[in-house]
Amino acid sequence: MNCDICHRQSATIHIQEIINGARKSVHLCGDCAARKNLSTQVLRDFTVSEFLSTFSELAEKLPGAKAEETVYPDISCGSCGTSAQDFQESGTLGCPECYDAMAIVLEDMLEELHRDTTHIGKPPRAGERPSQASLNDAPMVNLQIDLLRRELQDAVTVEDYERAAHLRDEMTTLTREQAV
Amino acid sequence: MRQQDLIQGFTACAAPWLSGAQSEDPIALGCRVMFRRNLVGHPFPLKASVAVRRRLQLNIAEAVATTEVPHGGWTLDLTTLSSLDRLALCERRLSQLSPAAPAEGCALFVNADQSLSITSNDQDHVCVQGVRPGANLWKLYCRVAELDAALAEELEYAYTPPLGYLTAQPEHVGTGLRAGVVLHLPGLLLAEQMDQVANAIDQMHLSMRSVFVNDEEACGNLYEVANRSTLGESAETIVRRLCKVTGDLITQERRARQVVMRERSLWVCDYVSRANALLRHAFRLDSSEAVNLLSAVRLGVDLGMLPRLERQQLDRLTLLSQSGHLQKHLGRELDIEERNAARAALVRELLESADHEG
Repeated sequence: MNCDICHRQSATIHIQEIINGARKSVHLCGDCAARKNLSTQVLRDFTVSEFLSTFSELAEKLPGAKAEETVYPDISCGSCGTSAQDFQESGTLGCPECYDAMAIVLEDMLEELHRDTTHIGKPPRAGERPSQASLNDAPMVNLQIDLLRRELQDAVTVEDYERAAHLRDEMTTLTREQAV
Repeated sequence: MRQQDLIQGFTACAAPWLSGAQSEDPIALGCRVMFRRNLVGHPFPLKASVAVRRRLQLNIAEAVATTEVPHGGWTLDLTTLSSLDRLALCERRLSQLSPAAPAEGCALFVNADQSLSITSNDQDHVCVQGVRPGANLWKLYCRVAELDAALAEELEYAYTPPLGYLTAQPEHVGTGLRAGVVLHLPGLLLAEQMDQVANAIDQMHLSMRSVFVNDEEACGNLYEVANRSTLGESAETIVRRLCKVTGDLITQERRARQVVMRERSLWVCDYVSRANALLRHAFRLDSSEAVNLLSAVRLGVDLGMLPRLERQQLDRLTLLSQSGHLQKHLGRELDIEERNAARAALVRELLESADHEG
């Protein structure tokens, strides 16, 4: 998807919200966001749901911004009765079955919100406990050792030798576990 | 024990994520991992009837009882808490409680050292959370995932293969995970690198949110770097990525501090000393000014400028000077002006006693 302002670079910042039933979205590349002086306000506190109220005003003012009037289909969940319009207004689904009932509405939204639309990972009660997995996870152990090493350097700098000794012991334990 | 006594004892305890009980990390204050889960065959809490929510709360309480959480811990019925008590719980980051009055069946189960908590019937049926001082997100993730797996033995989670764990909001569907690390980044701000960093974080599909916000302005230089996406990557991959990114950010912050000290040392000394003097002599402090000044003084401690102060004391003060904790500390509700005066008095008193201890 290209930037709404320059139409050349691919957009890396996606802002979307629903006001009075109308879905509005703005897609910007990093350069245009910086040029529009959006960087500080928008990016510093950027989360999808929290600061959308500021974005709506910005979206109106941006020359390339487009307001999409999305009319949700007249469907509702057979299990809990939540309609697509209810979801459009509240952003909250009614029950697990809503995901099936409103799949058509959710498809685009999930694509915009997430890196992909498929879950990757273990189902519940998969048997394997994470702590067992972690012991076999060499890259993570290396990262932990790196973090400990950094803490150790700090402790030595401030001459906190008691803490340094503790950190060194923790590093030794991890290194030993990794070797097993 | 009465609920009020419980909450009083609860807020008087040090919070592990902000009081630095175990960690002395100068940059990473703490991390948090949260899983949102729902129970199969029931409407999500906002849509569920009172009877259903009550029944589910009982089921969840029974499941929680089989875990390590209740031993020496707390069970709080959130529907009977005052808004002030709820505010104090939010300041402790114990759950993602909405500021509005919680619905029937909303309870919080917290373990003895307040590092693990389970909320029932907030936005989702179950929210499993852990907090830990320092940057070791992976260790915390393993602990919280273990608790989540223990609960999954007792409760049937709503899970469908293509989408994973189903949550009330599509923002969290998939892994249902939110993992983040709170970093103190005054160096990047002083070196004017914050925008580039925020931009890079955004491109990595992560979020960077200020822990303290006043009128939509970030204050206190404390940022939580967390995942934004819950589909397309396993929980382990998300946590791994976050560990890598926060490790890089910590390195960047260290470099930024070295650069500003080399190029603008007089300016930095002035920035720290002014903040130190203001905190010790002010008679009115609003919450954003307090966290900004405490951040500057914390930087001073990290840089060895204020040898008589310790980071832990400042982190404790940062928590205690929040509106909810301040009012709990004084045992009554205060208006804004009273809070500003009380905050300044508390800061003066604690810094003075820190001097005597030092």
